[in-house]
Amino acid sequence: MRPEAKGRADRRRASALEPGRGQEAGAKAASAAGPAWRRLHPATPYLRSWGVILAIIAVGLFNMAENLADALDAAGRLGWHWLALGLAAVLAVAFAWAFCWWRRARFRLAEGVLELVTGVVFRQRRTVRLDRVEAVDTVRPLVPRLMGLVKLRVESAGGSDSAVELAYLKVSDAARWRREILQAAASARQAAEAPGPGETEAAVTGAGMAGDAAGDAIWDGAGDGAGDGAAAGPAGGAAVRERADRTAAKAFEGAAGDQTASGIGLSSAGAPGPPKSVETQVGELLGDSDARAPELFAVPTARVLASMALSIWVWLAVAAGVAAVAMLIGGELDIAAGLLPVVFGAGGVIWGRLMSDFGFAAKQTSRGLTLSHGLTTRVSQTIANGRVLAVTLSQGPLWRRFGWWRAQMLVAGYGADSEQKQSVLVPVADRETVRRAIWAVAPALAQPGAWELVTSAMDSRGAAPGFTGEPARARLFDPFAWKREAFALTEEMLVLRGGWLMRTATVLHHGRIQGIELSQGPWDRRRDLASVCLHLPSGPVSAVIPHLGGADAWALVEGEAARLNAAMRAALAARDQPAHDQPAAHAAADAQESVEQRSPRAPDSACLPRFRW
Amino acid sequence: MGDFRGQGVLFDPDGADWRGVSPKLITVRLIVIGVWFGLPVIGGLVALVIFRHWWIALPTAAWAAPGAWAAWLNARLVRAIGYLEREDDLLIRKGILFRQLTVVPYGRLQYIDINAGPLDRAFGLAKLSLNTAAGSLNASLPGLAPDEAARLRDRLSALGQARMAGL
Repeated sequence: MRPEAKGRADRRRASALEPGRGQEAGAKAASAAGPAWRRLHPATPYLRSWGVILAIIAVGLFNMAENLADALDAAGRLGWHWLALGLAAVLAVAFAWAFCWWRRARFRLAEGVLELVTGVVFRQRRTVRLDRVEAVDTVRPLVPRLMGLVKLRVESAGGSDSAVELAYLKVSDAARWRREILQAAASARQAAEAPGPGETEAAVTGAGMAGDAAGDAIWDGAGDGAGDGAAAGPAGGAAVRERADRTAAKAFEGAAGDQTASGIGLSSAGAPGPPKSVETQVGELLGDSDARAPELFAVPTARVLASMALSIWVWLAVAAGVAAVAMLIGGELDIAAGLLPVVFGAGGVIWGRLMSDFGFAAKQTSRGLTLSHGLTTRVSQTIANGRVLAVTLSQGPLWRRFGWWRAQMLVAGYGADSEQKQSVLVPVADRETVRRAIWAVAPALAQPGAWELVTSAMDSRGAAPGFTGEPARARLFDPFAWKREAFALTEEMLVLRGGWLMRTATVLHHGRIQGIELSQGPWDRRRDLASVCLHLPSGPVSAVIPHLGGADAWALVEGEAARLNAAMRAALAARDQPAHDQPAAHAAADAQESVEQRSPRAPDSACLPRFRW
Repeated sequence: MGDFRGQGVLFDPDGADWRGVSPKLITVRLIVIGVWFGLPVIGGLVALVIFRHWWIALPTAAWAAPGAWAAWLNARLVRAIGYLEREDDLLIRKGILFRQLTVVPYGRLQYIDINAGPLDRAFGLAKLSLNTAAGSLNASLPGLAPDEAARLRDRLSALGQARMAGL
């Protein structure tokens, strides 16, 4: 708390003079880490290529085993000392290469950027602008973990390949570097956002006060208070969260005028944590102590295993496996062989999920939500406040009687990673846990009435208050899910429900929609139906409402276009009024940058008509 | 535009003044269809005449049918393409049987491409592609006169910049 107050004071002094000073301060903070190059851990080359080494050994052994006698014979003829010498030479070359690689791989924090240089013959230099850094996640695969080594993954706004990995570092070094990178990133972002000289006074007094007050409220309420409260169990934690909600909101009422909540991802002003004023930003990053943060939820291992056992993939794998064995016994070798890919495919999905979801725990820090999970590879990722664009909940048929749901989130920086392990918000949990997780990333849903819509989207069918769905005449086109496909509106959010066997409920912010598509085929037209697709950045969330009545579909398209534009205008207005420096607007601007920076990609199929279960 | 009559109110908000694309696109697309479908079909017919195997007619007909369908619909499909510049967004409308209306908010535009292949250039046409952060959004306007494409690009990027800043 104290160092951040100091940082804040520095910040104020720096920005009060001239905008350039902010940059200098950022640079100085960066140079405190030293523009000198740093090295990775010497074991890095072996750890990075141990897969290759194993493969070579395995292939070698396999080939030798084929004709072991011949190989021994040949070796005997050649002379064992030659063989040993050859092996030694190969090893020496490998070690020399590894040593060169290690000597030449280096990274540093320089003026506003993080640089990583790798490669011996082909040198590669990767540069990350610090003001674009979204998160610094730690990843601990099994073998390095046993050696006390860690990989730092620096996520920045940009396409899916924008992450830079500092692998491997000692745990203690990694912790230090993580802090330094986050500090430098905060300084850089601060410098980039420093207001012009004319506006400084008002901005500093206005936003500074708000920042201080809110910062304190957040720390006292959510930080320390909830730290104590969390011990009292989940219910206690929730209660504290709500308290923090109110204090933070109260702190904002006085200092920062209108609450321009629209247009800032799923989070809104006056929420716990999310408001990032220029002043609190650095402090928040500095004060980011995960250990002190209260645990929001944890998924017990038994629950993960049970949910696996109740997933369709397991049944598919087991059924295919049983069938394969039966065919094998029956002598139908071809069919058995044909079933193997199914067994391995489904088994692979299950295995991947288990490896990734194991020991899933979430903590609420001042900076955002910190998720840690994984069995062999331990991942710790921080979802910064305001970065979640949409959340989708899903529930397979066998999970229903237990009331379990899986939540995935759309985060701009993560892109569409194919396995979407990074996108899991809650692997499996009951409704109460899901609520806490979602409220952490989407405080707007904590408003009265909003959560009721989401719970209704989770299990209502047919007509439900607030929902507009497919009319009965759409039944022919959507025989299973037609009673489930529907949407509902709140002031800030769009709530979608769908799916028949695999139920889904999706929440997105009006201001996050990238484009709207209305489509109608010839059969749709005969029955006056049309489908609406809301385009979002690529990720695990797809927002399609098929076969709405014509008038409803058109109203949704027009209404959503209007709401989207209103949200953008509100954010624009909030940004252009430094006196009412609404921290949320900065979060919004940041988040937009992150969306902006994405590299072009081939069109994906989010809006293709498909058969919905 | 004439051919929009009968498309229903759903794809014609407020009877607004939609703009169509250049009729020269009809010719361009016809040429493309000719190359893709016409030439193989002619080849098939020649082979049929030379070798006199009746089964050659089967793939030829199978290839000719969609080509004929495409050629028959071509002019109507081109005339069905329309766009409407509104205050905050651009609407793009396409299709006859399978209709599609895309709303692209100016404030969401990331970059705008103008493409013109050799055939397009020969006919004085250009294709405008609008890109937002959503990879799934396929918003493009083929068959624009280069001047119109450049005007749209400049206008949309100016409007986009003015509106994007905030979010």
